[in-house]
Amino acid sequence: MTIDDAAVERLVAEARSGDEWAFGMIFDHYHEAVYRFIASRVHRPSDAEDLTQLVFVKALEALPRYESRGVPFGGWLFRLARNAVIDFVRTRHEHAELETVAERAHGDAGPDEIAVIRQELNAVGAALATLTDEQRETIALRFFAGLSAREAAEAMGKQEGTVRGLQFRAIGALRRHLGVEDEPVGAGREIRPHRVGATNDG
Amino acid sequence: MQASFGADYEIEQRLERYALVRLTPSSATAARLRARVMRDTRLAIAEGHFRPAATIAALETARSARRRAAVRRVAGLGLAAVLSLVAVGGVLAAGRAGGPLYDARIWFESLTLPSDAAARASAEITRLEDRLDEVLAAAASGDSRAVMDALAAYQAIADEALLGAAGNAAALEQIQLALGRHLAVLDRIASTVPDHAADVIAANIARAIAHTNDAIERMQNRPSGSDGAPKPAVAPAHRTEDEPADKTAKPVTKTPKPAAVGSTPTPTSRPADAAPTPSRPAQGPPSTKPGKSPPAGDHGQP
Repeated sequence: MTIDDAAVERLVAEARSGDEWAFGMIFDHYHEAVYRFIASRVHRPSDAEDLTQLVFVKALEALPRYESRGVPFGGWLFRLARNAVIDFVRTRHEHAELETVAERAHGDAGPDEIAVIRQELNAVGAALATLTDEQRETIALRFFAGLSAREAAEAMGKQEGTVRGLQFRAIGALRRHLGVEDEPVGAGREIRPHRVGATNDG
Repeated sequence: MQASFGADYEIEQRLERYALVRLTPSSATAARLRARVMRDTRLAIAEGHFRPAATIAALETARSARRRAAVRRVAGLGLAAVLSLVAVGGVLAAGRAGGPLYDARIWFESLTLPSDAAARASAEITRLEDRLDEVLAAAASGDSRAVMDALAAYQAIADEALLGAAGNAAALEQIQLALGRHLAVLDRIASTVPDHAADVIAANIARAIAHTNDAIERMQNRPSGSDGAPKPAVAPAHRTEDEPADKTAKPVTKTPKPAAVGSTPTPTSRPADAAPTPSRPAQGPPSTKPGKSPPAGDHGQP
């Protein structure tokens, strides 16, 4: 579903006063992005599911103490998600790696086409694995979760310019690893990450 | 630059495909997740784990009020403790020899004396020795006022002790022996007084020695067949801070040796029955300074 930031703030205000429906709307708006971010950082789909649930429960408990003060709600929510992943990785003694978590059905694609897609996805996964932790986290927040640069900066506790720099270097590294040629496609078009379930971005 | 944008766009497309295929939850997963989260939400609200913002604010206000009250309580207790320490310290300082409450302290001591003659004599001797200690300490520090206060108290207590032991020969002897020992101590103190306060202190010690000698002699010379109640020859020495010390009368060289006390009565220049009655009652008011009441000049001069 797509709602703008003002609508999110209204829903947050209602949820803070104990409105269950409003909190459900917030879940609908953010759950896919949160799940994607978490799934990109843990091994198993079941872990991603449990952690996503945990993040929203923590958000519910912390919501009465949330104060906007210019901080986007998405940044606040993804900071909870990031902390949950860090705690999970620390307690499980796992390294957060981008691995195949789940693979959705490829529709009506034939076996050859599926093989090509799988090869391409494996190559992307391998390229992501070569990035630094911060670069990989930036990619996850910006492209998988679809956060704006400001929200990603809030979630990571960094300056917005720092996040843009991390993203720039991460994209360059991925291009090199994936062997993407410089082709004049979409001249003048600014690269913007796809926003999951939202209309605005950074 | 355009080529770079094209490559970046290609990367973005690949990342999006990657996320769509491998990271996006299935509809079944999303539905299951929503059900679990909403169930937790309802439970949290029902069980009070989730408190609305207004409730949180009210709780925070109450908590901060309790914290402030606790801080005030602790601060009050601390202030009271400090004031108590200051008051106790002040009282202790004021109750020392030379302090404004010294007379009150001495008077209060007299209230706690036992009624039995022997026990009372022992207690009085202890008080006398305490006064001697105070004289010693004050003389060592050159505090002439404290010396005079302690000596005046000593003389008053000596009179009281002799008066109280009048009907008990054993108690009387006990006190006389103690006074004899004290004479030697006073004699020694007089010889160790610092120079800057020597005159005043030595004169007062000399008076105290003479007073004690008189008291001992009076007890020894009391008429037989009397009621046994000695009449103190002199009242406690009065303050003579303004008077010059009578060097010639300094009893340091005249003091009878303690060994002679009680053995050979020494005639004195003043008959025992000529002594005035004690000016200070045994349990007088604290405002009456020992040794200050009797008229000056009729006693206490060595």
